[in-house]
Amino acid sequence: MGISEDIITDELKYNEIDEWDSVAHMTLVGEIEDSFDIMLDTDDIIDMSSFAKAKEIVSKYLG
Amino acid sequence: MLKDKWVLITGASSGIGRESVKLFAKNGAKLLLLARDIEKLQSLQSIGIESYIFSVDVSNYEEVKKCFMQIRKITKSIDVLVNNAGILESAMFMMTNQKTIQNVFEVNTFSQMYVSQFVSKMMIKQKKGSIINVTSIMGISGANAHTIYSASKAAIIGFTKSLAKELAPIRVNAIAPGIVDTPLLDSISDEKKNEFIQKIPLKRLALPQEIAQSILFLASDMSSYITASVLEVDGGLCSI
Repeated sequence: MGISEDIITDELKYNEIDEWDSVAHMTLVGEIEDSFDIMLDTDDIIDMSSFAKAKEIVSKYLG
Repeated sequence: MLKDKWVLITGASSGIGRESVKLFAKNGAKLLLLARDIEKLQSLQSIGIESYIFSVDVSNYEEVKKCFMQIRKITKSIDVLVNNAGILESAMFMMTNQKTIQNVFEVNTFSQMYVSQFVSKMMIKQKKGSIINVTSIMGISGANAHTIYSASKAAIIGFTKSLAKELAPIRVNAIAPGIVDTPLLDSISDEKKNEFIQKIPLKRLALPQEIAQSILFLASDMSSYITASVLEVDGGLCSI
């Protein structure tokens, strides 16, 4: 997504910065699925509205 | 034409799907084949077509999801998707019950959406790919006693054009075969078939191979500037 690590905090929200738009969101989903070898449900992809929420959702699959 | 490209074909066991499998194999594609009938898929392997085969009902979202969990263990990329699975339903509208309406849309329409959703995720990451949705000229012109079938295929045209806009640079096109000589036609009488043939400017049914060739064209870089299109392969029938 080309985002500096400095701005990645739990508060970082989807669509709040130009780099995390709907297209980037799908790229992010693909990267998460490959990195963690999981397949996200569509409802979780929709719910992934912030970095904190993304961590929570991924944890659910890894737990 | 598709050397070492990963190609996923649904409804791969018979008709247009089966002919596409043979043609894509000849063109060097690495194949992922989906169909309900695993024995028919195995018969493709037995004639020398190297492929990964999956028994799956693509109208069932959970089955599709499980299938893609298996596919992800084989490849993380898919270059071409051919959404071909479908059923033909011939009945007068007032003689079509709710269960049939639901089933026709599940198999012909929703399945293409389910599979496309999983494949899109992979293609978006690659920033390239080609999706070919098999619709029908009945989805363009309508057909007597095929109201639900036509509606299910018309929905695919709207789906294709919208998805092409959303997913670009991934290309999304539809192919609209005319009347093709496949097992789907078994439910139609010879008399009715002849009636159809007389209306076709080329005066014959399409061969499944001819549809497969058009699918290959849309899958390959030969059609690199074509997206959001509906290619009519109908011997001129739709132009009447």
